[in-house]
Amino acid sequence: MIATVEHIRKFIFALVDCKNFYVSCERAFNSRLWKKPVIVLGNNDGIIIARSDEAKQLGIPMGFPVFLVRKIIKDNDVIVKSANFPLYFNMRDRVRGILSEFTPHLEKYSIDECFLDLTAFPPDQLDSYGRQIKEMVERCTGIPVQVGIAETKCLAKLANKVAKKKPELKGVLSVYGNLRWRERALEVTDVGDLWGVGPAYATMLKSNGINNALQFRDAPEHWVQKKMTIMGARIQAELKAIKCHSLSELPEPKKMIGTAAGVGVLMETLEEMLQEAAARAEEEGWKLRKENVCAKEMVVWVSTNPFSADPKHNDAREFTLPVATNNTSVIAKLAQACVKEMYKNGHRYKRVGVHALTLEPANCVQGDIFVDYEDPKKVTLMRVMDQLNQERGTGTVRIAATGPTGVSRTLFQNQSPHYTSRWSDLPIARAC
Amino acid sequence: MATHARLIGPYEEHKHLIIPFLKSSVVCGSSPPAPGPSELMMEDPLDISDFVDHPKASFFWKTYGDSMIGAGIFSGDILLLDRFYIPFLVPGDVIVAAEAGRDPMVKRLVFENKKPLLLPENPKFKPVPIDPEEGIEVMGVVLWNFHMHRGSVAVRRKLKAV
Repeated sequence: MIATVEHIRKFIFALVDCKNFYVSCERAFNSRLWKKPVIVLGNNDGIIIARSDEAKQLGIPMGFPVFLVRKIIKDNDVIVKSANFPLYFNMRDRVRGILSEFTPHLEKYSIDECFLDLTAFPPDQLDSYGRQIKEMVERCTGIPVQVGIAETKCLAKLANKVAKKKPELKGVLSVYGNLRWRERALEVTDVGDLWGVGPAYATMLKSNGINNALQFRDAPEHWVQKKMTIMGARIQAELKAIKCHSLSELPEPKKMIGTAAGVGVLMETLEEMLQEAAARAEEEGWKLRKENVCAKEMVVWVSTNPFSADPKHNDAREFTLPVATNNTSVIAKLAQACVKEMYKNGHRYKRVGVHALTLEPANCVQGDIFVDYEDPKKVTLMRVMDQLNQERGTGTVRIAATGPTGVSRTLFQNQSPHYTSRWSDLPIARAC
Repeated sequence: MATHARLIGPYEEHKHLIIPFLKSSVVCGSSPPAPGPSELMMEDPLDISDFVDHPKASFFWKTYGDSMIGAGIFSGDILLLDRFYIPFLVPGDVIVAAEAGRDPMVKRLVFENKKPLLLPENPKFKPVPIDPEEGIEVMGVVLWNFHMHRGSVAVRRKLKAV
């Protein structure tokens, strides 16, 4: 028997993502938020990082500073919540746990999205299977999700977006094995909404008459490759149901860990900037230790408020450490030295960023003949600090350089209780 | 590790007797002594999480008020809520339910003339009407509640915010 394309089993990918994830987490424990406009703020209560459908309808944009929509919030009684990551991480783990019962082949793509490999499942029952997955996650966690199923990851992501947009699909769309449905889904998808196509590419494509995903799929392949490199060519191939991307099941070692919290208040003096640098170094050190890695090269940057009319100053310094480290004090000293060098009087700074650029595993750090390995007492100090901060809440123990009150007061003014991780914060059911 | 032996005898399909060897060495003598304690006799110690059927769908809640004392649920108790059973409610279940914009409540679910009703367990409180069109959202089924009789300082501190 000659093997034809129809006889070769294609891959089946599903993309399951949570609807308005942070808001949904809040709503799972607080019925007073149901059917109301709700937003969640991140970055020290500065930026909008999640919106309920009702908030979206009011025109509140994603990723914008909250002060820009203060009036909309006031006029419509929009409920504002501060980010509650302890809660969101617990809920994320529950969702993932339920999905992994459907298949062990899971790619944890982001905090609220997972790719599933469903290649072993009967292809004629994929829609029903997708609905079962959706029903189980929603029932067990209270978090609504959408499911997209197709022959490739790009198509699965596209199907997921279409399922989100069209209420008649009831949150699930499988275009697997159905060319007509695939083409209709491509047609209704704007080229800028394609996975891997950013605003710059979207503008370029549209200026060449390519507005939707179907037109993109049918564009000449060599032209796409020339204009968008091999990455763009792969997206196009995947839209033709040719698999280019595999499921990535292993936890990817983080290539770059970054910390750049925008403060709620602008900083003018060098002293404030140095305290902020120390605070960012603190966070960075904690993140590095948590991942059990050390930083070898780091970058420190400062920036003024991009949204204001103030004189702008954006600058950065990179440095290489003789011995890779994750010790907060070491990073803080170096970050402060960089900030001192970059600081210019007369500016109102909005952000200090501290990024690790290259990482080394913590247990095989390359030494230097002039510098000692990490002092074991300092390693213990860091460990005790992390433990106390973990048990009693972030900010219990800080390095002195962050200042008497810690200028980087990580603002969480309207944070909901840590419903799933603190006995003192349990959600309440009334018996009265 | 235990090893197994197969009884060799007249072949009968599907009838294999597996005899685990005891770890302790068997002393050959006039009558073999009782087998000594062996790791095979190990049982896992009891853990409260054995009561949780669906860990990923289970949550701890807290309740305040006296409306459910007839069910043995008292103010300040901790509830073990399981969301897995939400589509499989049974008359008599104690559930947590809520309407949009209002607080979740804990009540007993009964059916009267095939219509669902939410009842308190205290004559001082009234049943909760369920809007026939809107319905009510069930947030979980209460499997267990925990009532504290004596709490140490450390435990009380954990239950209240530090």
